[in-house]
Amino acid sequence: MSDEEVESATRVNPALLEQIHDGDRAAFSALIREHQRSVFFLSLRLTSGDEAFARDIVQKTFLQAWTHRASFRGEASFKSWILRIASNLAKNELRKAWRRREVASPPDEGEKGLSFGQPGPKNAFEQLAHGEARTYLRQAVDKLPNQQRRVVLLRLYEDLSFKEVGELCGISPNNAKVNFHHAVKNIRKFLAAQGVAA
Amino acid sequence: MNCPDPDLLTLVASLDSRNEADESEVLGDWTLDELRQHFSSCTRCREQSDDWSASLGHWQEVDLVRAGDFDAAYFEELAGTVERTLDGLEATHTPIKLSDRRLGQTWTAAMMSIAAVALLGLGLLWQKAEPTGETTPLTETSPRTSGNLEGELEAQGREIGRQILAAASAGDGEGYGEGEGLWTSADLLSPSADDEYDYFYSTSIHDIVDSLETDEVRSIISRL
Repeated sequence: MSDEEVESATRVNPALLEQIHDGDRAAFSALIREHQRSVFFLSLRLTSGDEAFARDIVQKTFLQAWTHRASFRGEASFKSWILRIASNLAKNELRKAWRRREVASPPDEGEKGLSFGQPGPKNAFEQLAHGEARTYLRQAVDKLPNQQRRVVLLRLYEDLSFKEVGELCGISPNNAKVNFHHAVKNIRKFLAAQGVAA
Repeated sequence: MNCPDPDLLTLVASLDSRNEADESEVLGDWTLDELRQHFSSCTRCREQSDDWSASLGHWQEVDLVRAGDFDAAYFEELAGTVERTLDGLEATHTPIKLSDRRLGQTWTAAMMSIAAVALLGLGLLWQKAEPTGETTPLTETSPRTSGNLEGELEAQGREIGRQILAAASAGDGEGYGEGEGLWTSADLLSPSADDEYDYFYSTSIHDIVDSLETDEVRSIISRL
């Protein structure tokens, strides 16, 4: 299925969209059940596993989506729209949490501070148990600048096109590609520095 | 051999699991077919591309979270929580009743009340006036007589309203009533207030007028 066909298939049915605009909660509930996993796991990954945070973002996301349902005209996929809301909410909540010093590191937008040290002996990342590999991967992704983090998570785990990733992150598709490229190279550099070259 | 930019290979690696017909621009000057043909003859590029594909595939498999810990029952419960949040939103979002509206939105009510006060004041004036040999029409004796009696009454009523507000609020420094959102004199006389009748405001005006002694009303009117 081509990108266009996928996007077309994920667009909300016009009749369903009209029901939602008319305030039909049952129709909206169907969309909650269809898309809450994506929102939940995106939020969970952005915080490396904070379940309470992820649940909070799910609630706030669908609350915002319901409140502003009139602004969704069905031109893009509902998934893109809802993930954009979730992504922005998560970004804002993380900033607030950092200001309250509830999270370890401040949000940074550049590549400063990405020092990986000297690469250690090469061990196969693939040979690590999933739990251990996951720990390293989380650390690597946490070290990324915010934009690179969001782009790589959306591309790798939400299977979105660069066009959709760009729309969600408020950047051009080309910028999304650049961020993705830098993100994967930085992840690999970090893993190599930990001696678990991937 | 004309090899693609090595940086392109990270992007190509992310394409492998998808049919990227609409993302052909991802590859810049290359099409996916051209790249695959190149890989068939260029070992270095093929190995680099395969290396990236393996890494990305493994990162996807490992994931940052243990997705398997969250089953269907978990998400059913989460959906229920979201529904209850939306129910709560709808329960608090009740239509605003007219009687609950802030006084600041009742310009017409204010003018009607001021006109009522003006008429009351004029009525009292007529009642208490000394009898004279002749009865002269109000319009001939009023210092502000003009051909438009209604306009005159409205102007006088507005002034009386100002005086009454000043008198009513002089003692305790408050506007009508209590609590937030009630009119101050500036709000009352603001032309920006809208036209809908506000029962609470007009009741307060009448209460104030009723509470004044006749002499007090005459005193206010005599200052016109």
